[in-house]
Amino acid sequence: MHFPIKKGIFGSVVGHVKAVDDVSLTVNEGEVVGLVGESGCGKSTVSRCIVRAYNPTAGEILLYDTSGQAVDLAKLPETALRPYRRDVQMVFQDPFASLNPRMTLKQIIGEPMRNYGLYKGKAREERIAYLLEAVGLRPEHMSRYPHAFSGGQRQRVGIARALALNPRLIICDEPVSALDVSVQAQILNLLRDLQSEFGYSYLFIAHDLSVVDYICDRVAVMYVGKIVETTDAETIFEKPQHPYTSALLSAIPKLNPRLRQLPVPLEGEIADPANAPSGCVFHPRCRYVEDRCRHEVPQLRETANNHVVRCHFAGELEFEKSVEATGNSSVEAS
Amino acid sequence: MITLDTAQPIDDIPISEAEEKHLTASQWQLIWWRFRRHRAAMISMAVLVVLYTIALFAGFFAPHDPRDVVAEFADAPPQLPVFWDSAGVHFPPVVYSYVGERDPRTLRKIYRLDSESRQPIRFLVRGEDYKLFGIVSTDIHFIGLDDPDQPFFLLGTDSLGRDMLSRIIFGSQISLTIGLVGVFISLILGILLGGISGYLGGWIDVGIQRLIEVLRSMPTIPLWLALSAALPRNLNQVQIYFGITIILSLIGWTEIARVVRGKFMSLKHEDFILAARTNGTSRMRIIVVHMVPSFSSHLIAAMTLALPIMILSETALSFLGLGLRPPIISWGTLLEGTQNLDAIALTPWLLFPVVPVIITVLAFNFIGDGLRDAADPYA
Amino acid sequence: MSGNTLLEVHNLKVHFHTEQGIVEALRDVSFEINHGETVAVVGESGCGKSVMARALLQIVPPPGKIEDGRIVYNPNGDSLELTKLPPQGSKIREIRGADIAMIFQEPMASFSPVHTIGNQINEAIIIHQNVSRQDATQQTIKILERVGMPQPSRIINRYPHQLSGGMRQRAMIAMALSCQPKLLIADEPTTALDVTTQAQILRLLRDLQDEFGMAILFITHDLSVVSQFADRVVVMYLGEVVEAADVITLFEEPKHPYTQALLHSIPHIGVKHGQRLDAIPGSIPNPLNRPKGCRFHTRCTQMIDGVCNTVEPALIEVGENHWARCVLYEDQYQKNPS
Repeated sequence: MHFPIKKGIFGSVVGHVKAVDDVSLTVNEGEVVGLVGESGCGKSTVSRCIVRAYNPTAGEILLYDTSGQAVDLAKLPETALRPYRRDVQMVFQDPFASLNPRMTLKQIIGEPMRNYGLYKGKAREERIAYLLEAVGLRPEHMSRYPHAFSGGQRQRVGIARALALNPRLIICDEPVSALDVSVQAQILNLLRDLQSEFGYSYLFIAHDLSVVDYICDRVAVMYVGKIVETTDAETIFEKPQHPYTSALLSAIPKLNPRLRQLPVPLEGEIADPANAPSGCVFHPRCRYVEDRCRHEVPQLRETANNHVVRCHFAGELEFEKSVEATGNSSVEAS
Repeated sequence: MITLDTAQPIDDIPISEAEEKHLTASQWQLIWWRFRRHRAAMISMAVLVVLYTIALFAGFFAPHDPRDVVAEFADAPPQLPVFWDSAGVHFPPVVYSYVGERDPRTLRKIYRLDSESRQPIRFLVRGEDYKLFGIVSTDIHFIGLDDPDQPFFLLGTDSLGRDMLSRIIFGSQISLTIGLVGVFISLILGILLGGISGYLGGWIDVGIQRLIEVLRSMPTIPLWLALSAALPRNLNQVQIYFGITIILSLIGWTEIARVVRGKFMSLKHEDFILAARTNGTSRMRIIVVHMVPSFSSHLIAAMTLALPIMILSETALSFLGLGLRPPIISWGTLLEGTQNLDAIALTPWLLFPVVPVIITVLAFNFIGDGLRDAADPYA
Repeated sequence: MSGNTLLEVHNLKVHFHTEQGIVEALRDVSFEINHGETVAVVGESGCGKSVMARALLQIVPPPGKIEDGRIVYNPNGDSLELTKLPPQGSKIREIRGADIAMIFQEPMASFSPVHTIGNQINEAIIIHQNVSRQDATQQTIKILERVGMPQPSRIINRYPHQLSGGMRQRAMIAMALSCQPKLLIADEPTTALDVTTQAQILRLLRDLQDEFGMAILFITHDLSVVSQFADRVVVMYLGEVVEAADVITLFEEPKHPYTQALLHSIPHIGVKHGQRLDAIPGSIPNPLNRPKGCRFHTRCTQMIDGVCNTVEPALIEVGENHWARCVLYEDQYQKNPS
């Protein structure tokens, strides 16, 4: 996906931002895949390309039906796309912006069914009640408007709406990062329970690796528009192979005051995608950088079974732990 | 049934029926509840209801026919109602009769009010015949004197001896509606062009935006002058009326188009619009069900604020003799008579039509402010 | 009160007088900060942590008002009661910025977009230190260099929008530290940043604290940042302090059910697959409609009916310098003394 950079009164295109470049990702039936990265890495652009909020500049988005037939969603015009939209639904980050404040819960959750002519009349109302119950809300509140609900409850409404069409893939775009800490766990548990009960596939987008660790089977890490590492969740947390993944992991503050971070895991700033560095996009911040990284763009390589890394030295690097157990020495009890 | 333990309903603090009413309240109810707290706007609303009622039943509220020429009482000063004087308190209030004299030097006829001759004001009296709404024939007037032939000019008369109060009341029919029609035309143009501009974007958007900028950068008074000078001379009254409203709305639509375009642009990227797209909502339904209700309240506020501008513009144009022309009665044409200083010095009561103009403009502004504050109950 | 105390807050009470009614933003908030110490105030939205930070500097936004309480500032032996100072007076303005500085979540909010970074920091130095413009510029360059700005002599001519989020945060820290404050109030300084930038900023704050010796009041919703950064922790819920302890005690022996539940509900690496998070049920109550009795009772799993929903618990000392606001630690309700 490339975005044009426009300038001047009549908005002529003077350049392109490669927001996402050459991203390949597979979500299997019933699988939860995490897409992780820091702001500006392009993870949200990927999700929005899949639901065709943006039209990708190049590439394919293949949706397989139950018999194994694939459709390329990337190129379908809006009218031809419509029948496939019901298979891919989305849960949004901001529970306040993602619900139309002028519609009741009944209208919000009923709309997808209305659009596809499913569950007419009484049956639709029953299904709305069922969905509300499934996400932990009271069916008798269906005539309320979103302003009656807290952030966490609204997020449940958003989930119920995504479930209404019984989709095959649900894209969860940072579904808990706008919520209060005490509510995040509720929503994560709910998403996981729904997944194990109904076998949905999730593409779970997050900037927070600890959330991803909790819910995902497989994880892809993105940096400046490119996937740098993909593997199953356990491996990525125990044996990351890309220096960026390793740095990202050690940058997460530990929930233990006796384990305090010592060196800063990553110096410098995220590269500007409009002006990306040559060679490996990560090389200006990488502490294992060598001359080759500055000129040669690394390709994704499979280094182990199901473990794909975009680094010239994947599998050869030993990462040092940047966390050290500090006794009471640096923490003075007052 | 679902047995997930995350699916346990969340037990909230029990709420009262009044609170439940708030939770199920639609956008318009919320707006109304917020608007109601805006005291100046509520008072203004009552004032406007009174003004429009008077305009609607002009024949009933006006004591005279506005075109009735009483040469005997030309340029007569106002007979303001008197509630008490040396003779005590009067209820109903009284008016003093005129005593006409001639100024020995200028030979102008001047009137004095004779405080000895009192005429009580009566309500619902019989007077001249008129047709209510042009259909119902009646002769009941809201106020008047026992003897319909006695002079009764609460706000004085003009140089032809026509009753100012009746003329102001009939003038309100034109002045209060010309803004509505003008705003309505602006609204249609504004939604159409602003919507196209905001929804489609690209070259069409650029073109429409540049057009708006050009229109808005023109000095309005000369533009109106030129346009009204271009209106053919041989139009009848109704045609002139519509001609003027179209001229006024030619500028008015730009503001509304900008509001609509801005809303379309920002709404296009809202998550709930994307959510509607991803669950298969058609483009038409997204516009009608999701987008338009999201800014209709802002639009009403913008319209309310555009109305006083229209009313003032009509007044200004007519005052300059380039808008409506006599015999059409509007607040602007009434003020045309005050163009020379002598008239203001000798017959200052001809300036009375300014008062309803000020009241109306203020009232619309207050209501517009109230609506604007209440327009987004979810902010 | 020990001789080491820099700032004491006693029974602070702030109300917001809104059209819908009075919101008790802070109720009976007391704590203290020692010289050179880092105290973290942690809580979720609506707990009043940001209002509290602003109350310390008497900059509570309207319609908020400090109703009651004392804030005693004790820089070097002679104590000064900030709550007695007129909020617009010259004395408090001297303290704001020079003695007590504040940094915010969104650095753009504290910089004017139409002046260069250098000018704005210069201005702060000139106002509080009475030095010439050249000297101020030298100091500005030095402090910008100290906070890790690349090429500080060029950065001073930049406008805030020309810097990235992390750089703006550094510039704001530089401005806050330009007058060497005794107390730095940091209101969610890393919330808007990415984890790798957050780690850099936290490290920077810690290094600067070692160097300048100021105390830091760190306001955040993120318990893992607290565990990495604080010496002592104050936990707030709906305008009240519910627990206060040193950081090791708080994370290893939390006493208040809210703190306990919060610590269990946070997803962190190491919570393995198949293991559920112990979510806190319900949502944070509406600030206009606060629960009677203990404010947490609507979501508490250890709620005692007839007690927690009627009695307002007091802050009890449950250990050395460890306070919790819960009836479970009052003798008459103690069921399982463990």
